[in-house]
Amino acid sequence: MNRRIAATIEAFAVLCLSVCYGCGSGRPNLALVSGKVTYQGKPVTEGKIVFHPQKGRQAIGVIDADGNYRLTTFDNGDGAAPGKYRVTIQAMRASGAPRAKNILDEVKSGIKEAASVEWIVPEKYSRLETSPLTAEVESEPNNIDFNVP
Amino acid sequence: MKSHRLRVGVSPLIMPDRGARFQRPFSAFTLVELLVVITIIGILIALLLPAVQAAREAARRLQCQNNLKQLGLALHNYHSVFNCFPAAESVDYMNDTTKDIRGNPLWFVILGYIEQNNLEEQFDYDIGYSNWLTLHPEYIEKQFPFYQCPSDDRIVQYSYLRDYFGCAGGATPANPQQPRGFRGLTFSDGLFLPNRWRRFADVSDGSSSTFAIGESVHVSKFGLGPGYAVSTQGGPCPWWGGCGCAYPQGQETPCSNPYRWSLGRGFRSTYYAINSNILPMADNEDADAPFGSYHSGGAHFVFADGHVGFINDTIDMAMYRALGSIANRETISGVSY
Repeated sequence: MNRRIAATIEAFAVLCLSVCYGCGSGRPNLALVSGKVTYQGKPVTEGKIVFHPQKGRQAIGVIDADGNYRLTTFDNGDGAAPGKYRVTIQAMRASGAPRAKNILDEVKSGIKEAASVEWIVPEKYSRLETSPLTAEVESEPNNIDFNVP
Repeated sequence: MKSHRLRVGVSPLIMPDRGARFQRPFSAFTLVELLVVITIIGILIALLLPAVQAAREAARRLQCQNNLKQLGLALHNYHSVFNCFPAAESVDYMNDTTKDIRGNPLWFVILGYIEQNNLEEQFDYDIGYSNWLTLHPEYIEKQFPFYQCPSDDRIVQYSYLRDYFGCAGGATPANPQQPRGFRGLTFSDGLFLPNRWRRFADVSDGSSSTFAIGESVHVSKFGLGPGYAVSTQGGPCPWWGGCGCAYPQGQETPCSNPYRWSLGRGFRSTYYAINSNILPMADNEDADAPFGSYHSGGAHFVFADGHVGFINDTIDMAMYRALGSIANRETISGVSY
């Protein structure tokens, strides 16, 4: 009888899976992309890196404290579609006015000018029109490092 | 001789009977049969549940589309009265440059056109929303369901959230020398910008291929990171949040310098793709937040001509930015998105 119950559960699980499966969404096939961003030899410790395709959707990666990134197109860490990309790196730090702690304070506080923006990687690399960086994503998992001079 | 009790259908497993131990009962369920029946019912329910959930989500999507449609009609009614669309924020207390420059956001201005005349009449256009809310704190956390997408569960917890944001462009930087303002990217080509009153004549790309207002839940969906306010508060998106302009300097008039625009509370650009997770966001990036929604696969937009469309998140970026701009000379056929 245990085997019969097990078989029933198995059949049930297969059915559930087949119900969940098959929700294709017309999304392109993606390849994992990760790498390291350095500026003048040192790891960039914050910011984001954006891969702009010729056609389609951007892939974005957040740069962690060690300078590593992993690209996301749709879901966390899913990579980018194979192809050629122009790349921008936006890494900056703002030292500004103290933040409001809740909605009420926020209403009363008014706009504060951010004191200053410090670019960790020069601003030129953060703009599509001026960034010289490019990358090519292949269909296998990619490791693409950027060393900004 | 058979027991009478067995004939009325009581299982020997429940009521064991010495005389019936080795007999097969005629009219009783065995445990296995019971389990099989329960399993079959379970499978049927499991098949039905996703369909029920999908139907509920479809109803919520319809409600969301309807909200956007109403906003589109409100913009049109406003245009009929004033012969222009409302500005993202109108700031005209020019002599009052010592205060923070927050004027009258779109979200107050159109209240009179979505059956909220009572509130709109109470609003004081001379002092701006920030000062007005300090006098009327009861409206700070007030809920306006027509500004909320029912698929956004967080409205239960944060009643004052607004899920709809005006489109502030996304293709042409407001100032090519300095595209990044002190609160993120600024563009010159959206339907809604501070102190810009667009007309239909300005929308030369065609009003049916230009975004007016769209959904954005980025902050409530992903949090805000170490930036503005507190991420758990839903960040910078209460219903009243319009935009602002930081103190003008020198001979500037309020809101004349795009560098000092702060748009992230009420407006979004199409620079980043729908539902991009671009965390962490810094406090000087909040205008970079993208459009997006809790509906799977895209977000709803109401266009300048008043029609509501669902834009897939797989849309080509050039097309998406073209839809966000009012006059960039792109030609977009209606079937291409």
